[in-house]
Amino acid sequence: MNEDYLWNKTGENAEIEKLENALKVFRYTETAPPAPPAKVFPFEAKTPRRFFRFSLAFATFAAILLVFVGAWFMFSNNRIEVAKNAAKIIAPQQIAEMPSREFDKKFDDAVSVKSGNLTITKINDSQPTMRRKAVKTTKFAVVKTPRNQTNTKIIEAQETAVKLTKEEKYAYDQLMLALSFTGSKLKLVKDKVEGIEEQNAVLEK
Amino acid sequence: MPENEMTGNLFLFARSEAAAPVTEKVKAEALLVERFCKGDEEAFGDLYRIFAPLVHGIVLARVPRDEVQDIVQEVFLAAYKNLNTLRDKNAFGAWLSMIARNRATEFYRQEKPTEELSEDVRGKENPNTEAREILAAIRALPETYKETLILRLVEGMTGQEIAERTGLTPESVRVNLHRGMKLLRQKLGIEE
Repeated sequence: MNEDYLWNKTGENAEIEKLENALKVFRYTETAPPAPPAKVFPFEAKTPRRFFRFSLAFATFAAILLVFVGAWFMFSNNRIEVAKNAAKIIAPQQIAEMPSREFDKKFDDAVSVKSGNLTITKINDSQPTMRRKAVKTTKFAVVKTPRNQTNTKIIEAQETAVKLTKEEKYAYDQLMLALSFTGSKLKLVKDKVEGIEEQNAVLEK
Repeated sequence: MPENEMTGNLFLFARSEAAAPVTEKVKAEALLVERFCKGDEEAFGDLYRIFAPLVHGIVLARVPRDEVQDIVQEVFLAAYKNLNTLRDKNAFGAWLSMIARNRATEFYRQEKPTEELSEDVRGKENPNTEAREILAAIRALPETYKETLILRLVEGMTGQEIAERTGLTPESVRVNLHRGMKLLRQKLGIEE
């Protein structure tokens, strides 16, 4: 048998030729090479779309700003409303009705903070009746008024305090002293301010 | 082009490559690959014409005949996309053969279950019956033998061509051909 035919097709080998002829049907028939994939061009965003994106962002920002400004105005109005009621809490008439020792005790528990034009007064009343009373009026009194108005109130209070007894006068002085400590408790102010909304709900009731 | 002139050009090309030694033999397909990498799309068509029978034979040794042509196209498409990653341009044939083998393997991973038609349905008078039996016998041989035998008996390539295109040594191809042929004779019941 001529094995060279198997290697380089030289000579003759009937057996291998027969196999070749039989298997010829499976031979590769020339076809066109596969079409190369189409080149993909990156999509370029149109200018109007970019403009729309910027305008949308601007509108969103403006809307958020508007909401914040509106909320700030509403908040400040609420504080003015509360300030009107604040006088009721620290009104000399109420102080006058209260026994001096009892008032001292209550007042020691009171937390008073004053910072610039903003004044918050909280009465921590442990007595149920007093608390109920306070809640009915206003538990928190936030006063934000110009300096002139604040002074006016103090003057009004002093004018009414003329009729007070010594004990009542002492109590009133204690109250004024406590109000003067407010400048050093700025952090407490923030905590109280956060609770204002809750107090407003109580006030509305 | 005379052979000595061609050799001279090849050596010139080899000198232009800093990393390649001057004495290294540059194959014709390496030049085509180089041209393609520089943007000559026609070079890929030439590569296809040279290597399509090789890929066809490798795939035919592994997958059903109906699927062979599709897989051949897929192999060349994959080569087209990744040819720039080929470092040794002389090894294009071996690289392409590896892609073809991998694609054939993937075919069986993705294959949906099918059932082969019976003899009655297909018809006994099919003129390719004998050829199919021979092909089935070759496919039943070990991997190394069946691929070489199909390239030789089906694609009609010589041993030297098989060695050059697959990247195997001529000695390995010769051994594979002889041992494969011996096994095929046994399977087909042919006496030496």
